[in-house]
Amino acid sequence: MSMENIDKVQKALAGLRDEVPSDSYFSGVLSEFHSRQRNQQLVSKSLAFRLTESLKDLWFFNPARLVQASAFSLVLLFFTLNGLNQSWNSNSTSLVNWYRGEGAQLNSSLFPEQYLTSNGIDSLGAGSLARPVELAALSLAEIGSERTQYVMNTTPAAYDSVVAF
Amino acid sequence: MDSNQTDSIEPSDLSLVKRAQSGESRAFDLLVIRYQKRLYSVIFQIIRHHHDTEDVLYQTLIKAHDNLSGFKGDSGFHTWLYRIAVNRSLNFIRLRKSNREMSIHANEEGDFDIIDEGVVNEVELQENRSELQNKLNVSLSKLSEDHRTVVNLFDIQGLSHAEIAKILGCSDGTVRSRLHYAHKQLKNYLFDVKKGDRS
Repeated sequence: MSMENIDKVQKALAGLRDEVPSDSYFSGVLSEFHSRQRNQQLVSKSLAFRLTESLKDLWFFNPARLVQASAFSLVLLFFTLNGLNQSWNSNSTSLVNWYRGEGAQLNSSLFPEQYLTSNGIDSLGAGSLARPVELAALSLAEIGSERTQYVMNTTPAAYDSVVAF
Repeated sequence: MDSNQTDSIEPSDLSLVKRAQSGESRAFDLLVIRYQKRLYSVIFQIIRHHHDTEDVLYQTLIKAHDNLSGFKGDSGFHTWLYRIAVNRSLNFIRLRKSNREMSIHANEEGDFDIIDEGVVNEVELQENRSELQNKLNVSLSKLSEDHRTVVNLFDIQGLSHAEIAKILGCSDGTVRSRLHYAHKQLKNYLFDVKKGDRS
Protein backbone atom coordinates (compact mmCIF):
# COMPACT_ATOMS: atom_id res chain seq x y z
CA MET A 1 0.00 0.00 0.00
CA SER A 2 1.50 3.32 -1.06
CA MET A 3 1.89 6.40 1.13
CA GLU A 4 -0.90 8.05 -0.80
CA ASN A 5 -3.24 5.24 0.13
CA ILE A 6 -2.15 5.40 3.78
CA ASP A 7 -3.02 9.10 3.79
CA LYS A 8 -6.38 8.30 2.29
CA VAL A 9 -6.98 5.65 4.95
CA GLN A 10 -6.01 8.04 7.73
CA LYS A 11 -8.31 10.72 6.32
CA ALA A 12 -11.11 8.20 5.99
CA LEU A 13 -10.55 7.11 9.58
CA ALA A 14 -10.64 10.70 10.77
CA GLY A 15 -13.81 11.15 8.71
CA LEU A 16 -15.53 8.47 10.78
CA ARG A 17 -15.53 11.00 13.64
CA ASP A 18 -18.29 12.83 11.81
CA GLU A 19 -20.55 9.78 11.80
CA VAL A 20 -22.89 11.45 14.23
CA PRO A 21 -26.52 12.52 13.90
CA SER A 22 -27.49 16.01 12.79
CA ASP A 23 -27.34 19.10 15.00
CA SER A 24 -31.09 18.93 15.58
CA TYR A 25 -30.56 15.61 17.35
CA PHE A 26 -28.02 17.13 19.72
CA SER A 27 -30.26 20.07 20.53
CA GLY A 28 -32.48 17.62 22.42
CA VAL A 29 -29.72 15.76 24.26
CA LEU A 30 -29.64 18.11 27.25
CA SER A 31 -33.37 17.97 27.93
CA GLU A 32 -33.38 14.19 27.49
CA PHE A 33 -30.42 13.95 29.87
CA HIS A 34 -32.33 15.96 32.50
CA SER A 35 -35.42 13.85 31.97
CA ARG A 36 -33.51 10.57 32.36
CA GLN A 37 -31.68 11.95 35.37
CA ARG A 38 -34.98 12.81 37.07
CA ASN A 39 -36.39 9.39 36.24
CA GLN A 40 -33.35 7.68 37.67
CA GLN A 41 -33.59 9.74 40.85
CA LEU A 42 -37.26 8.83 41.18
CA VAL A 43 -36.50 5.17 40.63
CA SER A 44 -33.69 5.19 43.18
CA LYS A 45 -35.89 7.07 45.66
CA SER A 46 -38.78 4.67 45.21
CA LEU A 47 -36.37 1.77 45.47
CA ALA A 48 -35.00 3.16 48.73
CA PHE A 49 -38.57 3.71 49.97
CA ARG A 50 -39.63 0.18 49.05
CA LEU A 51 -36.52 -1.23 50.69
CA THR A 52 -37.22 0.73 53.89
CA GLU A 53 -40.85 -0.40 53.90
CA SER A 54 -39.93 -4.02 53.40
CA LEU A 55 -37.30 -3.82 56.12
CA LYS A 56 -39.90 -2.45 58.52
CA ASP A 57 -41.60 -5.84 58.38
CA LEU A 58 -38.51 -7.37 59.90
CA TRP A 59 -38.61 -6.80 63.65
CA PHE A 60 -34.93 -5.97 63.94
CA PHE A 61 -35.31 -3.08 61.46
CA ASN A 62 -38.52 -1.76 63.08
CA PRO A 63 -37.69 0.69 65.89
CA ALA A 64 -41.01 0.12 67.72
CA ARG A 65 -40.64 -3.62 67.60
CA LEU A 66 -37.01 -3.35 68.55
CA VAL A 67 -37.97 -1.35 71.70
CA GLN A 68 -40.63 -3.91 72.56
CA ALA A 69 -38.22 -6.77 72.13
CA SER A 70 -35.59 -4.97 74.22
CA ALA A 71 -38.08 -4.25 77.00
CA PHE A 72 -39.22 -7.86 77.03
CA SER A 73 -35.62 -9.05 77.13
CA LEU A 74 -34.85 -6.72 80.02
CA VAL A 75 -37.88 -7.91 82.02
CA LEU A 76 -36.93 -11.52 81.36
CA LEU A 77 -33.36 -10.81 82.39
CA PHE A 78 -34.52 -9.07 85.57
CA PHE A 79 -36.68 -12.00 86.66
CA THR A 80 -34.00 -14.52 85.77
CA LEU A 81 -31.32 -12.67 87.74
CA ASN A 82 -33.71 -12.07 90.62
CA GLY A 83 -34.62 -15.74 90.73
CA LEU A 84 -30.99 -16.78 90.62
CA ASN A 85 -30.13 -14.32 93.36
CA GLN A 86 -32.88 -15.65 95.63
CA SER A 87 -31.84 -19.18 94.92
CA TRP A 88 -28.22 -18.53 95.85
CA ASN A 89 -29.19 -16.56 98.96
CA SER A 90 -31.40 -19.34 100.25
CA ASN A 91 -29.95 -21.89 102.71
CA SER A 92 -30.41 -24.85 100.51
CA THR A 93 -29.96 -25.41 96.84
CA SER A 94 -31.97 -28.58 96.59
CA LEU A 95 -34.94 -30.18 98.23
CA VAL A 96 -33.00 -33.29 99.04
CA ASN A 97 -30.27 -31.36 100.86
CA TRP A 98 -32.88 -29.27 102.59
CA TYR A 99 -34.68 -32.35 103.82
CA ARG A 100 -31.50 -34.15 104.86
CA GLY A 101 -30.17 -31.08 106.63
CA GLU A 102 -27.03 -30.96 104.50
CA GLY A 103 -27.53 -27.39 103.37
CA ALA A 104 -25.61 -24.64 105.10
CA GLN A 105 -27.36 -22.63 107.83
CA LEU A 106 -30.49 -24.70 107.76
CA ASN A 107 -33.44 -23.66 109.81
CA SER A 108 -34.00 -26.87 111.78
CA SER A 109 -37.41 -25.76 113.00
CA LEU A 110 -38.67 -26.42 109.51
CA PHE A 111 -37.63 -30.10 109.62
CA PRO A 112 -40.51 -32.54 109.96
CA GLU A 113 -38.86 -34.09 112.98
CA GLN A 114 -38.66 -30.76 114.73
CA TYR A 115 -42.23 -30.00 113.76
CA LEU A 116 -43.33 -33.24 115.31
CA THR A 117 -41.30 -32.72 118.47
CA SER A 118 -42.22 -29.08 118.93
CA ASN A 119 -45.89 -29.85 118.52
CA GLY A 120 -45.80 -32.88 120.83
CA ILE A 121 -46.78 -35.21 118.05
CA ASP A 122 -43.57 -37.25 117.94
CA SER A 123 -44.49 -39.82 120.51
CA LEU A 124 -42.67 -42.64 118.79
CA GLY A 125 -39.11 -41.29 119.08
CA ALA A 126 -36.27 -41.22 116.63
CA GLY A 127 -35.51 -44.96 116.87
CA SER A 128 -39.03 -46.15 116.21
CA LEU A 129 -39.69 -48.24 113.14
CA ALA A 130 -42.92 -46.33 112.58
CA ARG A 131 -41.08 -43.01 112.30
CA PRO A 132 -41.01 -42.98 108.48
CA VAL A 133 -44.76 -43.37 108.52
CA GLU A 134 -45.00 -40.34 110.75
CA LEU A 135 -42.79 -38.39 108.39
CA ALA A 136 -44.77 -39.48 105.39
CA ALA A 137 -48.00 -38.45 107.02
CA LEU A 138 -46.55 -35.13 107.92
CA SER A 139 -45.32 -34.71 104.37
CA LEU A 140 -48.74 -35.35 102.96
CA ALA A 141 -50.54 -33.17 105.44
CA GLU A 142 -48.23 -30.27 106.09
CA ILE A 143 -45.42 -29.94 103.68
CA GLY A 144 -46.73 -30.65 100.22
CA SER A 145 -46.50 -32.81 97.23
CA GLU A 146 -42.82 -32.37 96.47
CA ARG A 147 -41.68 -33.74 99.73
CA THR A 148 -44.34 -36.42 99.50
CA GLN A 149 -42.74 -37.45 96.25
CA TYR A 150 -39.40 -37.55 98.03
CA VAL A 151 -40.83 -39.75 100.78
CA MET A 152 -42.48 -41.94 98.20
CA ASN A 153 -39.20 -42.40 96.39
CA THR A 154 -37.02 -42.97 99.45
CA THR A 155 -39.36 -44.97 101.70
CA PRO A 156 -42.10 -46.45 99.51
CA ALA A 157 -43.25 -48.83 102.24
CA ALA A 158 -43.94 -45.97 104.62
CA TYR A 159 -45.76 -44.05 101.92
CA ASP A 160 -47.96 -47.04 101.16
CA SER A 161 -48.83 -47.37 104.85
CA VAL A 162 -49.91 -43.76 105.06
CA VAL A 163 -52.02 -44.01 101.93
CA ALA A 164 -53.62 -47.21 103.27
CA PHE A 165 -54.27 -45.49 106.61
CA MET B 1 -7.11 38.64 34.82
CA ASP B 2 -6.48 36.62 31.66
CA SER B 3 -8.22 33.61 33.09
CA ASN B 4 -11.25 35.75 33.96
CA GLN B 5 -11.37 37.06 30.43
CA THR B 6 -11.09 33.53 29.08
CA ASP B 7 -13.87 32.44 31.44
CA SER B 8 -16.17 35.19 30.20
CA ILE B 9 -15.57 34.19 26.58
CA GLU B 10 -15.47 30.44 26.86
CA PRO B 11 -14.91 28.92 30.28
CA SER B 12 -12.34 26.15 30.52
CA ASP B 13 -13.32 22.59 31.37
CA LEU B 14 -11.73 22.89 34.79
CA SER B 15 -13.58 26.07 35.73
CA LEU B 16 -16.87 24.55 34.59
CA VAL B 17 -16.14 21.40 36.55
CA LYS B 18 -15.39 23.44 39.68
CA ARG B 19 -18.61 25.39 39.26
CA ALA B 20 -20.55 22.18 38.71
CA GLN B 21 -18.90 20.63 41.76
CA SER B 22 -20.02 23.60 43.83
CA GLY B 23 -23.61 22.91 42.78
CA GLU B 24 -24.12 25.04 39.68
CA SER B 25 -26.10 22.74 37.41
CA ARG B 26 -25.81 25.10 34.44
CA ALA B 27 -22.05 24.54 34.43
CA PHE B 28 -22.50 20.81 33.92
CA ASP B 29 -25.03 21.50 31.17
CA LEU B 30 -22.37 23.51 29.36
CA LEU B 31 -19.98 20.58 29.66
CA VAL B 32 -22.66 18.28 28.24
CA ILE B 33 -23.20 20.61 25.27
CA ARG B 34 -19.45 20.83 24.72
CA TYR B 35 -18.80 17.09 24.72
CA GLN B 36 -22.03 15.50 23.51
CA LYS B 37 -20.95 15.07 19.87
CA ARG B 38 -17.51 13.77 20.69
CA LEU B 39 -18.91 11.39 23.27
CA TYR B 40 -21.49 10.16 20.81
CA SER B 41 -18.77 9.51 18.24
CA VAL B 42 -16.55 7.63 20.73
CA ILE B 43 -19.44 5.46 21.85
CA PHE B 44 -20.86 4.91 18.38
CA GLN B 45 -17.51 3.73 17.01
CA ILE B 46 -17.50 1.01 19.66
CA ILE B 47 -21.18 0.04 19.69
CA ARG B 48 -22.12 0.71 16.03
CA HIS B 49 -25.80 1.11 16.78
CA HIS B 50 -27.68 4.37 17.08
CA HIS B 51 -30.26 3.55 19.77
CA ASP B 52 -27.76 1.70 21.93
CA THR B 53 -25.28 4.55 21.51
CA GLU B 54 -27.94 6.95 22.71
CA ASP B 55 -28.58 4.86 25.83
CA VAL B 56 -24.90 4.54 26.65
CA LEU B 57 -24.42 8.27 26.03
CA TYR B 58 -27.04 9.15 28.66
CA GLN B 59 -25.66 6.53 31.03
CA THR B 60 -22.24 8.14 30.61
CA LEU B 61 -23.56 11.64 31.27
CA ILE B 62 -25.51 10.56 34.36
CA LYS B 63 -22.54 8.62 35.67
CA ALA B 64 -20.25 11.60 35.07
CA HIS B 65 -22.69 13.93 36.83
CA ASP B 66 -23.07 11.61 39.82
CA ASN B 67 -19.32 11.09 40.18
CA LEU B 68 -18.22 14.62 39.41
CA SER B 69 -17.24 15.20 43.03
CA GLY B 70 -14.67 12.41 42.56
CA PHE B 71 -12.93 14.22 39.71
CA LYS B 72 -9.72 15.67 41.16
CA GLY B 73 -8.29 17.20 38.02
CA ASP B 74 -5.28 14.87 37.85
CA SER B 75 -6.07 14.29 34.18
CA GLY B 76 -8.04 16.34 31.69
CA PHE B 77 -11.81 16.37 32.08
CA HIS B 78 -12.28 15.01 28.57
CA THR B 79 -9.94 12.09 29.39
CA TRP B 80 -11.99 11.34 32.49
CA LEU B 81 -15.24 11.62 30.54
CA TYR B 82 -13.97 9.44 27.67
CA ARG B 83 -12.86 6.85 30.18
CA ILE B 84 -16.41 6.57 31.53
CA ALA B 85 -17.80 6.42 27.99
CA VAL B 86 -15.33 3.75 26.82
CA ASN B 87 -15.86 1.60 29.92
CA ARG B 88 -19.64 1.87 29.59
CA SER B 89 -19.47 1.03 25.88
CA LEU B 90 -17.20 -1.96 26.37
CA ASN B 91 -19.41 -3.24 29.18
CA PHE B 92 -22.41 -2.82 26.91
CA ILE B 93 -20.69 -4.74 24.11
CA ARG B 94 -19.82 -7.59 26.46
CA LEU B 95 -23.35 -7.70 27.78
CA ARG B 96 -24.76 -7.67 24.26
CA LYS B 97 -22.44 -10.52 23.29
CA SER B 98 -23.52 -12.66 26.21
CA ASN B 99 -27.18 -11.86 25.54
CA ARG B 100 -26.72 -12.74 21.88
CA GLU B 101 -25.13 -16.04 22.82
CA MET B 102 -28.10 -16.73 25.06
CA SER B 103 -30.47 -15.71 22.24
CA ILE B 104 -28.72 -18.00 19.79
CA HIS B 105 -28.94 -20.82 22.29
CA ALA B 106 -32.65 -20.08 22.80
CA ASN B 107 -33.17 -19.86 19.05
CA GLU B 108 -31.60 -23.26 18.55
CA GLU B 109 -34.30 -24.56 20.82
CA GLY B 110 -36.90 -22.76 18.67
CA ASP B 111 -38.01 -20.26 21.30
CA PHE B 112 -37.73 -17.01 19.33
CA ASP B 113 -35.95 -15.39 16.39
CA ILE B 114 -32.98 -13.09 16.59
CA ILE B 115 -33.28 -9.67 15.00
CA ASP B 116 -29.82 -8.20 14.83
CA GLU B 117 -30.67 -4.51 14.83
CA GLY B 118 -27.00 -3.59 14.81
CA VAL B 119 -26.52 -5.18 11.42
CA VAL B 120 -29.64 -3.53 10.01
CA ASN B 121 -28.50 -0.19 11.35
CA GLU B 122 -25.06 -0.72 9.90
CA VAL B 123 -26.51 -1.40 6.45
CA GLU B 124 -28.55 1.81 6.57
CA LEU B 125 -25.55 3.87 7.60
CA GLN B 126 -23.37 2.45 4.84
CA GLU B 127 -25.46 4.18 2.21
CA ASN B 128 -24.19 7.56 3.35
CA ARG B 129 -20.52 6.67 3.51
CA SER B 130 -17.76 6.70 0.95
CA GLU B 131 -16.59 3.38 -0.44
CA LEU B 132 -13.33 3.59 1.45
CA GLN B 133 -15.13 4.34 4.71
CA ASN B 134 -17.36 1.34 4.17
CA LYS B 135 -14.32 -0.85 3.61
CA LEU B 136 -12.72 0.66 6.68
CA ASN B 137 -15.77 -0.13 8.75
CA VAL B 138 -15.74 -3.72 7.55
CA SER B 139 -12.04 -3.93 8.38
CA LEU B 140 -12.51 -2.31 11.78
CA SER B 141 -15.24 -4.77 12.66
CA LYS B 142 -12.73 -7.58 12.15
CA LEU B 143 -10.42 -6.16 14.81
CA SER B 144 -10.69 -7.19 18.44
CA GLU B 145 -12.45 -4.81 20.85
CA ASP B 146 -9.16 -3.66 22.37
CA HIS B 147 -7.54 -2.91 19.02
CA ARG B 148 -10.65 -1.26 17.62
CA THR B 149 -10.91 0.96 20.70
CA VAL B 150 -7.31 2.11 20.31
CA VAL B 151 -7.84 2.92 16.63
CA ASN B 152 -11.07 4.71 17.54
CA LEU B 153 -9.39 6.90 20.15
CA PHE B 154 -6.16 7.56 18.21
CA ASP B 155 -7.10 7.71 14.53
CA ILE B 156 -10.74 8.72 14.72
CA GLN B 157 -10.91 10.90 17.85
CA GLY B 158 -7.35 12.18 17.56
CA LEU B 159 -6.25 11.57 21.16
CA SER B 160 -2.61 11.16 22.15
CA HIS B 161 -1.00 7.90 23.29
CA ALA B 162 -0.78 9.20 26.85
CA GLU B 163 -4.45 10.17 26.92
CA ILE B 164 -5.48 6.79 25.54
CA ALA B 165 -3.31 5.07 28.14
CA LYS B 166 -5.13 6.98 30.89
CA ILE B 167 -8.54 6.23 29.40
CA LEU B 168 -7.87 2.52 29.03
CA GLY B 169 -5.89 2.24 32.24
CA CYS B 170 -2.86 0.67 30.57
CA SER B 171 0.69 1.75 29.79
CA ASP B 172 1.76 3.99 26.96
CA GLY B 173 3.71 1.08 25.49
CA THR B 174 0.64 -1.13 25.44
CA VAL B 175 -1.27 1.53 23.53
CA ARG B 176 1.52 1.86 20.96
CA SER B 177 1.79 -1.89 20.61
CA ARG B 178 -1.96 -2.33 20.12
CA LEU B 179 -2.04 0.53 17.68
CA HIS B 180 0.84 -0.90 15.66
CA TYR B 181 -0.84 -4.28 15.48
CA ALA B 182 -4.24 -2.76 14.64
CA HIS B 183 -2.76 -0.66 11.81
CA LYS B 184 -1.01 -3.71 10.42
CA GLN B 185 -4.23 -5.70 10.54
CA LEU B 186 -6.20 -2.89 8.94
CA LYS B 187 -3.73 -2.66 6.08
CA ASN B 188 -3.99 -6.39 5.54
CA TYR B 189 -7.78 -6.33 5.57
CA LEU B 190 -7.97 -3.33 3.26
CA PHE B 191 -5.44 -4.89 0.91
CA ASP B 192 -7.45 -8.10 0.84
CA VAL B 193 -10.60 -6.13 0.07
CA LYS B 194 -8.86 -4.41 -2.81
CA LYS B 195 -7.58 -7.72 -4.12
CA GLY B 196 -11.14 -9.05 -3.95
CA ASP B 197 -12.41 -6.01 -5.84
CA ARG B 198 -9.86 -6.45 -8.62
CA SER B 199 -10.56 -10.15 -9.15
